[in-house]
Amino acid sequence: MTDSQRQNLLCHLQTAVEIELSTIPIYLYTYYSVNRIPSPCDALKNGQALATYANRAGGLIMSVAVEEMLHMSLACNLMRALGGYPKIYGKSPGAYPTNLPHHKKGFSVGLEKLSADQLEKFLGIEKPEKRGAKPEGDNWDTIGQFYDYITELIEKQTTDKDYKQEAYQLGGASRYYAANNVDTVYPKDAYYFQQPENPLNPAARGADQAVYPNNEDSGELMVVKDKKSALKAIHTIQHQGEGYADDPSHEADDPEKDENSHWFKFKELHKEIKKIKADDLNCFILTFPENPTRASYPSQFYPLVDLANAVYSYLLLITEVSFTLKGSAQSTLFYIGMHKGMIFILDKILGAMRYLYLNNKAGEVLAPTFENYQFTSIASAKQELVALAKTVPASFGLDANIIQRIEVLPDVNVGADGVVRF
Amino acid sequence: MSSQNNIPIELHACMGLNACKGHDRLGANECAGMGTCATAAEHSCHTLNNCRGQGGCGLYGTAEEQNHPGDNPCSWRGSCAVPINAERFSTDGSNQGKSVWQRARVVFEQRMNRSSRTFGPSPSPVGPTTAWLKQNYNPDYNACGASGMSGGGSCI
Repeated sequence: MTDSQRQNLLCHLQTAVEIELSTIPIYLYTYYSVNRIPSPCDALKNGQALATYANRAGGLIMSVAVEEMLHMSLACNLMRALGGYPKIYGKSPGAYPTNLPHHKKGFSVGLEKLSADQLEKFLGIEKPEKRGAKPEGDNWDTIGQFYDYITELIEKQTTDKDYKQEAYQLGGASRYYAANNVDTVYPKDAYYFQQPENPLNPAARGADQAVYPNNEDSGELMVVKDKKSALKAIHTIQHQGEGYADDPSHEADDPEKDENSHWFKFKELHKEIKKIKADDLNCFILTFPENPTRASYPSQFYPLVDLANAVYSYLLLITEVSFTLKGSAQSTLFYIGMHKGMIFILDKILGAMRYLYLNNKAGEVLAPTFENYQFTSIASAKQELVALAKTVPASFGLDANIIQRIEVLPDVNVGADGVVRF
Repeated sequence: MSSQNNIPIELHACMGLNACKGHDRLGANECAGMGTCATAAEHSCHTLNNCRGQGGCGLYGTAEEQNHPGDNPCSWRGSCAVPINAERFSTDGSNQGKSVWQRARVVFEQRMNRSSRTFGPSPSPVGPTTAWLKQNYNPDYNACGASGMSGGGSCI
């Protein structure tokens, strides 16, 4: 491929990175609006069904969010394979509601709690393309058509020798990705734990109830090393989002039909939530505000909102830097930084925030704003993060271990010796 | 962690996973594999383990990690909370839907056999239940996961 063809393809792949990235805070915001183990529902006659829906909705939304992270990483791997450097830090939408990057005008989605309306927006994001729809590199109608355009560029303009830089990609032997975890899994019946435990097999009570919404055969984190693997990465993104183009139901996204597409998962949730009375939704959906910003909150919450945004942005920074490293340095920074940062820091901060009331008439709570936090300098980003954590008043009830966990996050500034420091 | 006479002990993730006599939390077990409690520092989830062999598994982590509970290679490379409650099942990998503790015991026995070491039965063939851990170990014991399906509550 020529240099200009390479630059053009890299430009579209950077757009792909930003499309996938933009969906993550939107899905996570709605995810955190759901109390997955909602004791307030217990008092209602249909509490069991509501609690079951709540946990299922949480599991399904998280299962989609996990795959959006996978899609972003696959697009980044493609960029690295072609000699590009994906930009992630500072590339989250920042302001909501927002259109998706390079989507045609008229579409808009924001940070909103779980509702039938929000699920309709999610269906808009994951809308399957019509059979025979033309590829669109800009002003696109469906994500599938945008990736069709990239597929055309890969097929027509690249050869196997254009793909390099395998060592700098995420995946391969490092296997950073898991299709399911305890947050994607959900029970068939939320009240299963009221059944007696089998003393000869205590794990069976939960295991027999568990639904695993993702499946590895739908595609996983793979290294792009030639044209064939580049096309496979793109097809993984397309299938997981909207199912197979030649299947009018767009239900499954894997050959074994063990996993539903994002679109189908949201369609099912949408169908079910429309049957739930508005009052009943209140027992498991928290009173999240619409499209909150730091500036929209009372100033006493700024330290906590800033910390949440800084952690979110630091995780994007870790990911971006990881694509410039290889071997143990990449593994140490990405694996430890992302796992610790996502599960034990960001998740715990957002979890604590949502039980702080804003004391407004609507009874709203403090929800994440997912704004891009700009560190004063990348060189001091880690220290800045630690300092921010120390400004959060104890009265906010943040887990006492949060500061310590932030202190042992890996520093994104990896020295010339290749050693990641903490 | 070291015993009273400062002889270092091998840290492990749970009941029945100790490699030596005296290597449980109470230092009272007679034989390998017969300890009642973890010597690894208690922690609630993935990557929070301090040392090799301290990861619990089953909640987060790759398929490979989830297949090697209590057998992680390094600090912060462990997969999930310690101690491993008996209710916990693996969420990914070839042990998906099966007991994490029983998988950890199999991995432990394989390690002992590779080292030509004898070992005794675990105090419980299924591992410690959450109720047992709360009563005998830590009343605030919990594990991770917003779904609540860890069987050990949720740490969110």
